[in-house]
Amino acid sequence: MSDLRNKIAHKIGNPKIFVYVVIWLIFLVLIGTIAQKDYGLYLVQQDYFYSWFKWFGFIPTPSVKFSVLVLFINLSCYFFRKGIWRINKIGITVTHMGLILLLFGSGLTYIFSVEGNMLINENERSNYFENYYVKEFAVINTSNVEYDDYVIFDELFLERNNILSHHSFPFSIKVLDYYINCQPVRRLYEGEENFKGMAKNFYLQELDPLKEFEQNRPGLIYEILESNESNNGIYMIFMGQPVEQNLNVNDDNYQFKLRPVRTYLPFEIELVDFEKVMHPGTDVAKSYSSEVNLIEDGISRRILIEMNQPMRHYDYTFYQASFIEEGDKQTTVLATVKNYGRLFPYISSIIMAIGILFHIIIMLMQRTKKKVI
Amino acid sequence: MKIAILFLNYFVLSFVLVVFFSSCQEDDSPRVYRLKKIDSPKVVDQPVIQKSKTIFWEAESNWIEVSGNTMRLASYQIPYDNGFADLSVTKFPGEAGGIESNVNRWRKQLDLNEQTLAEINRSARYFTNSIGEFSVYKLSNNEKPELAFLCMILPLGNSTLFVKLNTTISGINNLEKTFINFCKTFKIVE
Repeated sequence: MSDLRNKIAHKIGNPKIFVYVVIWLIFLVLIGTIAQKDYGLYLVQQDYFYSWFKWFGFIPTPSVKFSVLVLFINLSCYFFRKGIWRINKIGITVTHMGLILLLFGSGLTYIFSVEGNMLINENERSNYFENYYVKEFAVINTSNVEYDDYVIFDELFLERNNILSHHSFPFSIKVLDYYINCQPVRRLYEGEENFKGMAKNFYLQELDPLKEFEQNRPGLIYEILESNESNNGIYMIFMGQPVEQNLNVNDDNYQFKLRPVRTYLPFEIELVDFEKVMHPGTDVAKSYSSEVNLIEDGISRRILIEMNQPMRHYDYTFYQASFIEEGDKQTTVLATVKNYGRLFPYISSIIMAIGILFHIIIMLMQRTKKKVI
Repeated sequence: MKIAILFLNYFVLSFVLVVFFSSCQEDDSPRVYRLKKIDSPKVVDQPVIQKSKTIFWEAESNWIEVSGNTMRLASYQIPYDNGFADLSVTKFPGEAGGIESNVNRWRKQLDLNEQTLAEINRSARYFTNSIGEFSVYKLSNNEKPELAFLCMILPLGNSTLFVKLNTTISGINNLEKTFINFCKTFKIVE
């Protein structure tokens, strides 16, 4: 049993596999970097990094995700070998542990991290950030005067002919079409009776997705089913639609929204003051900063967020990313990341450094011993 | 120690494999939550622009601003000899269907036949303001004198601005110069 385990560990844990995979990763990163010029960063990340296979024409090749998994298994096999705790191997063992920890942390980051942008107007508060790369379809019951009930369907639900339903609303929604990028176009003639709301006067024209993926304007054409006759029909909605799409059923008002995926925070941030410094005589910003109140459980704390000086709270990090000016009104844009694996690179680097140092010291000692003999 | 590390290794390896492969499965239920009502959040198309552009125009002092629907940037009632004309300023993303479909839609409202783009372009008048060149279309049907339009289309890059004056045939003749002067006042302030 032990021999079999050793054999398998040697086969799968062969250092050659590690070397080949690392070379393959370098190649993927190189051509991915070149490809993002034409296809944009987001699509290349999805294609090269986050899928399981990268297809070159008809040929499937391992993506970065797949390759990293192979690396992880390959490195893990080291710990099934014999004699790894001998003094001359201990440095290498510790280095392997550091590397395993690094890959484990990157796996955590990939699966659980959330990112987006938080927009706050001066003297206003916000408790959420939005990811402009991924969209969601929200059905909001706004009937109660104190609160709104949200049912959120992620983008993956928005496939043609999917039926969206939930026990909290008395109708169902059939997805007729979902466009990643589109524009509303006025109809020459008013649509059929079956078209309701904006769809009566407009239709959605599908456009090619933009290279800057976050600038796409998605649109959804859907049919309301199983409601009363005046509500049943075909509706449309696009992101940033100026007219709210509402539906009144049994005295309850439902609002439909197509918006970037929204993540709510367990605290609020209030923008007290936004300041920007321009390069003299130009419109180019030299630096900008946001003075904010971090409000949690009714307690407020004043914090300054500057470029390269982010604010960290729990697992969230807020970077000063940009700003928007409309007349006298200023809005700060904070790039927000929630990353559970934030500390892994630091800890694993320290462990690897200790391992390599230990290994060098042991090797030096052994060489010195041999020379003395 | 060795056994502990070996156990830990089995545990971490199996945990990572489970998490990796379970991440491929799609969640098949919607998310549900309840939130206290707050003021409507700011809606911005693109969060990374450094400055947004605001469109300004100068309406004449005797124009009455009326609250239009949410599709309109502004609506005015413009007094003239025979009553009031309705003027609307709207902005739509992209080309909003383009010149041909929009002009033909207006023509259809006046019971006029559709025209080709070349015919429409020939009948248009072109002017410039500080944003760029805009086209003006004077549309009327003698058989329907109670309704006539003066329309402006101004491309803004990734959106299009429309100004439409809705009045009678005598109204558009009366207000044509005022309308064009109004369209010339549009500017973008960064």
